[in-house]
Amino acid sequence: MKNYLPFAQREITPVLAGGAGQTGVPTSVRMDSMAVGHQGRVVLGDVNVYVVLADGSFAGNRILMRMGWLSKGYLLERRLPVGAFINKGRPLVSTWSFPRPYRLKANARLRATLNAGETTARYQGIMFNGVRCEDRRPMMLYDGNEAESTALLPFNGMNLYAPTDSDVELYSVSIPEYQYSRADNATAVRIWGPGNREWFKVQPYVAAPAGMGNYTRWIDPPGDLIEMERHRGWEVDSDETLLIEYENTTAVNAVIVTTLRGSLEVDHG
Amino acid sequence: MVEPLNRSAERAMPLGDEVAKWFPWWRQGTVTFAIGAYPGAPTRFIFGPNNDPCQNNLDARLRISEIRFANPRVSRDAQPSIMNQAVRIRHTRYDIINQWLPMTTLQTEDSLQYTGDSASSVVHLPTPYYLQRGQTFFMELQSLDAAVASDIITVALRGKDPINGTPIVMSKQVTLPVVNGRVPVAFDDNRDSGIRDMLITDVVFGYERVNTAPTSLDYPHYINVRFKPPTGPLWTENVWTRLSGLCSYWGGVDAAATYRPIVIYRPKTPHILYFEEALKIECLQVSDLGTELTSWCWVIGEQEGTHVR
Repeated sequence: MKNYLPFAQREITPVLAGGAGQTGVPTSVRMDSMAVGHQGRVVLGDVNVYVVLADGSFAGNRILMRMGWLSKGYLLERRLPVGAFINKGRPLVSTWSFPRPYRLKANARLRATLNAGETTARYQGIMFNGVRCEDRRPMMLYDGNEAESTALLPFNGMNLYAPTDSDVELYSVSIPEYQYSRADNATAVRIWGPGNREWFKVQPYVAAPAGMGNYTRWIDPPGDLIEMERHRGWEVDSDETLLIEYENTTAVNAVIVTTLRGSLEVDHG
Repeated sequence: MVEPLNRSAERAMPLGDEVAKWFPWWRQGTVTFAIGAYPGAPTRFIFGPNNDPCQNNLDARLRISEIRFANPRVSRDAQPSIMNQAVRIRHTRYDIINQWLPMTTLQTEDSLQYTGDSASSVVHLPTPYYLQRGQTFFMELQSLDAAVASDIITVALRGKDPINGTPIVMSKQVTLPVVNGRVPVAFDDNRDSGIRDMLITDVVFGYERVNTAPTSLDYPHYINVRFKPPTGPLWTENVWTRLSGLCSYWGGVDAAATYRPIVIYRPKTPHILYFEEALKIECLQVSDLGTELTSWCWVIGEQEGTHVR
């Protein structure tokens, strides 16, 4: 039976300034699921482009980009403002909807850690929204910590186990974090599936560019999203490399954080 | 099942019989925490006059498609809000959440709030409502805060022709009355073009004021609404519902570092409530910031239209 494992990949790319109103230096980034050790079909869900200028100012739409495939070239002749690609708002609460549901076998479990990056201690938890396959009854897998904390917290309670009598299809994952609190201090999330396979292949605590705080394993990237296709995502082979080219037409250098999220197609749970 | 008045053998019901069989349904519950309620005992959301849980008192099935939480606080840290609350939910037959979970963790939906200068909010009906020609669709608005009294509200019914799918929009403008006053909004034949057959899918509220305080994003918290559809069961048993809990989209101008916290949990398949089954929704305040706090909960779904009022 086909199953779809959620994955996220992130690249941090310095992009030199071309000067105000001038052509920048095109800089490309390659994203593919081979980087997460997968060979097979893959569903690319969405891409997030987060721009940090060296002087902390706003880039507006003066960062340009285009997308394409390493084997086939770019889809566009020229680069367009990043805003021209964005089609989906950033969620108010951190929720990641998977492009395909992930099926967790009966009795299998998930576990996670959360490190709230906020300065204010907060009550922490994680929730996977799902449906029991046996009777299609809605079911959540979840765990919470009953004390406010900014510390690294493990979530491995009984409610993160699938039931004994049914597989569970999971459609999204959420953590308690509001978007505006994420600019400087990110909540670090790590999630492991059965066999201790980790979902995110991102360096856990990247030394962040100035002004970004600890840019870590977020469920939800800080900004609006570019969906590959509104409902189903782009379905490709894992050796197809997504190529994104940036051009910085501001007067200051930038660091661009690119996050690719999707699902890997596998033949097992 | 409620038979549409104008139905004839030649005119097939749109979208199958589902439209005539299922009607919107929702309930609003509240919980109030006193100052110093932390660390507090679990407090149950109250959905009726007798400290009721959210119980199905209808001789019909309910399909619960959403549970929402909100309160009027605009800041995360300066005042208590749903960011500082935990929740537990139990269905009569099974646990939905059996341990305290941060309320915001229940969010399953994408962006709710949009910041722009066209202030509006939208109620997506849980299931389309079939309004037939010649009927009057009646609703009432109530203002809950002096800040919005005497403001003009534009209400639009959006939907489509049930036969050919042509989009239909009908609108009315009303002025909100003084606090706790009510104003009727009637969509009827007393106008240039009469009511045609229409599947109502959305009700849109456009607001007059944009950036004077309180900002336009506060409108949904300051307006109560109740619908009186001409056929089928009542959607709310004639009680008021705060607009904020029904809106799937809020647009308007926001101030820096403020937002209107609202959480929407939408299961992928509905929770079914048979007669006398209930959802027991409990809440716990996990910090105390020295202010009395009222939170709201809305349970939204569809009712089977086998009972007629």
